[in-house]
Amino acid sequence: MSRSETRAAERLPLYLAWAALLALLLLTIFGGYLKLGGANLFISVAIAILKAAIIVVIFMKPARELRLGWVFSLGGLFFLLVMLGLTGADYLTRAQDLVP
Amino acid sequence: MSPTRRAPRKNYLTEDFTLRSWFFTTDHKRIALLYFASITMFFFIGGAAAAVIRYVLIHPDGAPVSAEIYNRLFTMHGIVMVWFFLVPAIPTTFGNFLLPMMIGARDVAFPKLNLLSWYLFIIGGGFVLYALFVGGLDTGWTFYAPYSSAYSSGHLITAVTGIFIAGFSSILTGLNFIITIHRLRAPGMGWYNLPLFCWSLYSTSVILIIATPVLAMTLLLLAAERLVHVGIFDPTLGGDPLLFQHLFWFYSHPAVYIMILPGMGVVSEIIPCFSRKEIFGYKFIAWASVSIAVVGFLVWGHHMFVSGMSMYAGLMFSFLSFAVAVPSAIKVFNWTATLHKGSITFDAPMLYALGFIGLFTLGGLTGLFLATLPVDVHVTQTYFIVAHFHYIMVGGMVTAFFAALHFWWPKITGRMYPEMWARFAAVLIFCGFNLTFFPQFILGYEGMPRRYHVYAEQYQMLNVFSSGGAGVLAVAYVLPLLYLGWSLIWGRRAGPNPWQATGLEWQTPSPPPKDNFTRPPKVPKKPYAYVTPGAEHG
Amino acid sequence: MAEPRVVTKELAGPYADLHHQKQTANLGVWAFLSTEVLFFSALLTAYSVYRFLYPQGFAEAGRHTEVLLGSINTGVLLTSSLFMALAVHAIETGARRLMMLFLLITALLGLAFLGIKGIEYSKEIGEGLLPGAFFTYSGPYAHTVEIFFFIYFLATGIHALHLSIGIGALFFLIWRTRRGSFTAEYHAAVEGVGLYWHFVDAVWVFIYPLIYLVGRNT
Repeated sequence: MSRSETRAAERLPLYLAWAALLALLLLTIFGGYLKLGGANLFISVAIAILKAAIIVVIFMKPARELRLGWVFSLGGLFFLLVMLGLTGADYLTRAQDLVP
Repeated sequence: MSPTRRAPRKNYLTEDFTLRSWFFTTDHKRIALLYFASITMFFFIGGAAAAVIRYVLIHPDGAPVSAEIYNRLFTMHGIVMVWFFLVPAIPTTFGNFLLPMMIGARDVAFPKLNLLSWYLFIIGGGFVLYALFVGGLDTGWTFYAPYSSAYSSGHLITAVTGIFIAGFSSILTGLNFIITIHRLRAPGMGWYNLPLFCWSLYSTSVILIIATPVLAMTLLLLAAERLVHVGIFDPTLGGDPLLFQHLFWFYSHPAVYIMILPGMGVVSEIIPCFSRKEIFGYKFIAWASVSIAVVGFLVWGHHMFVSGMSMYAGLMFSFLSFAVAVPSAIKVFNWTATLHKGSITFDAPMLYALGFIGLFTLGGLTGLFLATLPVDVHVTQTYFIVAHFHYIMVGGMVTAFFAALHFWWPKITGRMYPEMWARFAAVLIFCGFNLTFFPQFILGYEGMPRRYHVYAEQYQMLNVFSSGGAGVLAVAYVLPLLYLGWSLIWGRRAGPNPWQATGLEWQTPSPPPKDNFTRPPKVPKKPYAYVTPGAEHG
Repeated sequence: MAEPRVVTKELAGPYADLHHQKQTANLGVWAFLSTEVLFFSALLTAYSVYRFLYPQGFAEAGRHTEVLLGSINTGVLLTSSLFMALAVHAIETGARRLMMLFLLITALLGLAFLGIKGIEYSKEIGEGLLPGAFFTYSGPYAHTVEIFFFIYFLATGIHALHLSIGIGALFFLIWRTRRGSFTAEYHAAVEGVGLYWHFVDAVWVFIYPLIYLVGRNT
């Protein structure tokens, strides 16, 4: 392959990622207007996670130099889940307290 | 008497004497000293507030000051001590000075960010001191909403701005240490060759970079609510005050591990050296530090048991709080096992380290009392809590700070301190400390509430003991200032390794040269390769 | 344009060589980004709590957001990420001028985002939705709508601040490129800004559905 062909091949994933992101954007807008009750939130967050994953994996490439990049990129997310999870444990169970 | 050694011709102190070379330095050792001067100043400011508080508390009617002034005093004491002494103390001084040396590096990964970190600390401190001296605030260092956002008349926004800025200082320090440990270790220095102080600094740094941003956002929300009058935390406007507490304690509980983990690391360095024995269970202690850092993020709700939080969440946090005690206990057992059959000498660093083990254990065990939901319901917001955290923070962390100060003083300054005075001060601190804070456990159990400047007559005797102890402590804390200062001019000059300790920092002259090592340091195959004199081989 | 001067790079710190320096800088940026994740996490938690407590109020508030402008903006930002990634690829192959072009397009798209955001803000402020003294929305859910828009202005405002810093960094990179600072072998700063830019994009990807798509399903 010539040099310019190699470079075009290297750029292809970037274009594909961009196209996928825009497609997912349209999907999430469309999905937002469907009457699905509580599932709407779940779907839109799931699509957001997928879009963020595409951005991270294809645009940011955490494993570019060191595998450690993966740990750093996921570490923050772990603690986000802890924050949401344990705070949720309070709010989700308040109404069910035995003591009125 | 050993012959007086001359100092090495050029070291990091004598490299350049200009002010510019100090205030624009990127040398981690000089930055450590800049921090050292700063946190010492803050320690005495916070201590002055404590002295006034203890004086007021001799009187059951709180006669010397009004309630308003008293509230501002304990708020000032808390804010200054937590954010401008306890959080930065060991990492920014001994961490900055020693970490690169312990791993065989010339400096930290981002030396300019290190200097920026100090300037941010000073700027943040400036805001806070300004807020405190133009009248302060009365919310307590915990800023509970909606009092702090809607009703308090103090200088809240200025104070939280200062803390916000100082938070960036913390984040940069933590970030620097993490990258330094990952990327700048000398060849041959694997993770399991690292001194345990480095493991504890790494764990501390993880907490610094993960928890501090949450505080930043929380303070931003608080300030915004105060300015805009929206109901983020204010229940009259639809907000939930408990949300503030969740967000605040999500940072502030891990923050207490920021304060204690480096201290534990110091103890792990000192105990083997003065027992002439390899540390027991190196890997357990190393991973215990990491576990404390991670599990420490799961327990914040134990500050909220009586706040109105769901009982089920309370149960979960209670269970998790028991779990977080386990790695700390592992460390205490391992230090004790290291002492067992060791050849122990009672130099000042060792006295402080032994004091740490005892006082931290007591403080930590009372933490288990507090993790026990029904007990906490009885003693929360009483002096039991105050005693608990002062045993850990003062009995633990401040003691460890003094341990580090004496252990590495020769390395940092090239001088030995007068040993007898140091031992005397250590014992005086230990006695004064217990006299101050042990009565507070009893006071709390008997129901004396915290943050009140008046109290029932029956509590007076123990309060007087406590204040007497505080007086002893005040004298005892001034002593090191005096004899260490004395040693800078008249102290015996120290060689590279006065304690015959292991660790790369002892392979270089005292004080070290600007680039830390005169020749590439030899990385030992095992850390803490101490041999107990007379021990069997194998 | 004259051939850029080739600048021999001196090590900027205690690193073994340029490769070591680049890896260290890269890791440093990732560590910094994880602090940013936690910064936004606290706001996300506040949002989640109030959405959980006041679902109808949030739905009502969400219907007052400018979904068309917000969606266009999302497309703009995603496209800017593409050009940022193309810029990094360009310098990896030594194409300095191409990289400068891509960086410029990225910055312009970023400015377009801010412009559209400004239009949104002025519309919302005009409708009396700015929390505080000028909040005029009334109705049974007024408090909740005010909380929603408080979180909205804070989240998008902080995001816009981060974006502005990113735009500034892009112009700084463009200026440095003209002085010949970047080569195929060493362009750590470009990669670093790229990581930051993509992160700011990823944050927006989460903000978008939580702000603009609330209450659209009724």
